[in-house]
Amino acid sequence: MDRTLSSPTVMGSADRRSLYPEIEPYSFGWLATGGPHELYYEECGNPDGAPMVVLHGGPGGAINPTMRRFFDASKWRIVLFDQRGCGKSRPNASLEDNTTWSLVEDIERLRKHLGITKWATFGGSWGSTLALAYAVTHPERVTGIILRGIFLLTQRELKWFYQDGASMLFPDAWERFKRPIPKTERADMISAYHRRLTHPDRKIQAEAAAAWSQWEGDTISIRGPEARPPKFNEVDFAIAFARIECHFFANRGFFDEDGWLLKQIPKIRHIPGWIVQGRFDVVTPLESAWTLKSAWPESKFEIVWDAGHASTEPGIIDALLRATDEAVKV
Amino acid sequence: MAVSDQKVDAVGIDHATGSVVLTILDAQDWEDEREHLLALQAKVNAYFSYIQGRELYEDYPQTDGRPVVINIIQRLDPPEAFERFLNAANDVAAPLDITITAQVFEGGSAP
Repeated sequence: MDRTLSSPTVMGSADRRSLYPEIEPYSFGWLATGGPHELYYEECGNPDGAPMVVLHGGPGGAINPTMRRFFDASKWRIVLFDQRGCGKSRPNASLEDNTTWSLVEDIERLRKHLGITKWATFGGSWGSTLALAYAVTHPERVTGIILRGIFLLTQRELKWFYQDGASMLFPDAWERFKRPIPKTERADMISAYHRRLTHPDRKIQAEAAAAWSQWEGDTISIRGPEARPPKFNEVDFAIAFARIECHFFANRGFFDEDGWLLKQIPKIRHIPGWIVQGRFDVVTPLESAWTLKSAWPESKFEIVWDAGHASTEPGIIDALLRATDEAVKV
Repeated sequence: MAVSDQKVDAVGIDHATGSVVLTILDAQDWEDEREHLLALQAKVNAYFSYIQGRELYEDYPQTDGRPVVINIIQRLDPPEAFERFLNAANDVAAPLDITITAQVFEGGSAP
């Protein structure tokens, strides 16, 4: 182990906590962006509490009621929103003016609309990418950063998941993923999927979207394809998820260069940070979290020894609850 | 977002009051008071049309049957003339069962 790093915490499985009770939003609405998109947002918890913005994954995922439950609702003012083209935001599945940087400005737009001066950010998977992109762009607006399933959107990560790597652990699911793509196009799966997911024929989009979404759904949990969340089988969710995700990946996250995000970390080292990572995360392997921790030694880092990528795995829930409880005191 | 845009900046539902809140995000400066107030007047009128034409309820069915509030969020402290504008606007809005409120939020640069 690199001696410059503090050892990651590796917790046992006894006495793990479960999610906070279900809560309903005290307000919700839609915010115009000045372009074709409008964003659906919710506010939950304590209106006078510490502000927190929750960034969902994908890109192309959506918020859901479980995401409200990682926070002590008596202490946090929890803001959740569906990113462009996602969930209840409109128009659904649209790729127009939909980039990392338009999403970063949406977060600012929402902050200003809600009259919040500074807030903490909470994001898993793509949500961690977006949380970091937002923080390095507007560090003066961020009070804390809680991340899970770190994804730096590098070519190495994309190659691992969509070309050669995860396929060795999940050959059964990989078989289903490669089925819609002819052998002659399989040397570049993201490009092959991108052509189909942006095809004008919705039937072609839907077939590709189903396979794309199910691949991620099959690999998200340490319990494997048997634990695929039902939403990954829903056609509307799958089309938005696959189209937007593939659009971002085909465009390399709209970053200036590969590994750009990691190079920006010195700008946010003064912000309190928590990193939670499943040891057996196949979607966004531990290497990225490790690299992030190396660049951000002040952050707290916890490896959950018996978890994959999903935010709902018991060890991940427990670690995230401890992180949000700690963050609200900062 | 400029106050002159003839569209709705945000639509929300406040469960505490049960109201639907239509927000006007006003980031314009007050160098030319008259021009600014005219732009606000046009925007408020556009919101009235949007509500009375029932487009609001077609676009956001969850809002139907709720009291309506138009909330003007401003980046800069307004001059006294704005108070008079707000009172006059509320006189027009009251028979339509609409309330107009305003608040200043300086948390950051203009959107």
